[in-house]
Amino acid sequence: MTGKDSGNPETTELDALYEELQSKLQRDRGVRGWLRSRSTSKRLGLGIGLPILVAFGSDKFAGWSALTGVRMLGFVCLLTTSALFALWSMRPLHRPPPKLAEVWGMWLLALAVPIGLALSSGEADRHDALDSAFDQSALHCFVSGIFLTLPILGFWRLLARTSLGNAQRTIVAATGAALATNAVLHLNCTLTGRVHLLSGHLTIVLAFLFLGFLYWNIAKWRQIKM
Amino acid sequence: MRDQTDEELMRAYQAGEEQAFRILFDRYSLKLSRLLRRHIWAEEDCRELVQQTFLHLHRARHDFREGAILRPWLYTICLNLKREYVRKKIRRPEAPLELDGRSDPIAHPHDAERLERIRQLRHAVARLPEAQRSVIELHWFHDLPFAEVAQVLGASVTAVKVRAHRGYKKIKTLLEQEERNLSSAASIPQPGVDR
Repeated sequence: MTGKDSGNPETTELDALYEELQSKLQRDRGVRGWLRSRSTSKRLGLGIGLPILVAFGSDKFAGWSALTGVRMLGFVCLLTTSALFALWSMRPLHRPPPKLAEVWGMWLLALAVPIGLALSSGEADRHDALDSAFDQSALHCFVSGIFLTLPILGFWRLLARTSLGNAQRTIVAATGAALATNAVLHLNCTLTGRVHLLSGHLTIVLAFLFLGFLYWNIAKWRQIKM
Repeated sequence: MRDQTDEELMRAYQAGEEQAFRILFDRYSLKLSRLLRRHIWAEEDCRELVQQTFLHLHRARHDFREGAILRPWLYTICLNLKREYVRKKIRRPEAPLELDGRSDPIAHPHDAERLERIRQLRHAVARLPEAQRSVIELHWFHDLPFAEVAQVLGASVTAVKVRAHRGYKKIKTLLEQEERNLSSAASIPQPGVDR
């Protein structure tokens, strides 16, 4: 505040506070500052646009003619669940926090959708038993899924307005990114057997859930130690 | 520009008018600081959270749409940040009970009886469950209408009114109880005092 109010101790304190804020605003520029100051709908569009781009741009995508209705439906279900998680992880602070029932509903959905899709898959696994060839295809999907989830997670965290290390939002984003990867694999993986979907695709979600909870607990433990 | 409404200022800030942000800061930083000081003891942490509130307002400026009201936005950001802070500190939020004339809009430093009443009132508010306390703090101490309180807390207007009603009723009971305790303590003969 300037002018007639200067000299008042409360005003001087406000001026100092505003100056500090200004220096923080100055630091909040650059690519990340630009990304996270976009509107939530734009941030969500960018966040979900990335897996869509990968899904349809991949050289493993068999083309529109090979795309069955059931497969497309599975992709849409996984992508929608992933989008809900993206929205949750990017939820702006001017919105009240989600209710407990909504939170549990989301976690249930994160497991129910990929499990439901795998169990409803009518196609039998190409391998009668878990032989070495099958193990390798599941492992291939799992490893490539992990490597695809990481950049999606990184990008989503860049779009978030809270700090990168926010444990709760990171675990939500990690689960959503793993679901987005599942959606990409759903379009690009040629194996649609039940066991393959459970062991090669669902495990990506489980792995990131586990890592997220581990990170969350480490963060909590570090706070207690501090 | 200082006569403009919060919403007009926010739209001006969206359009790149830096001065509008400063006016909003002047208008709300002390109010938010008072709200935080009821829950957080450390002065430095309160300052930091007020700054964070405005930093998040700046980041969320493009989310502000025509027809939205700014005040519930600011209070929601502030309370969400407070919630995260308290969670990080892993402690139950406690309302400071000591009096701070500067932070209290109704306190008068020379009126001992009035200060005592305020102390009792604060003590009663601090003993309310969190859900009722938040409603009363926003509605009573910060003059937010029930519709805005509902927006801040993510509850329906009816639910907020019910919480307020229960909260005020409980405050009344607590104050009456305290009054009775004080009068019964005053009636006990003091040792060494000739009655």
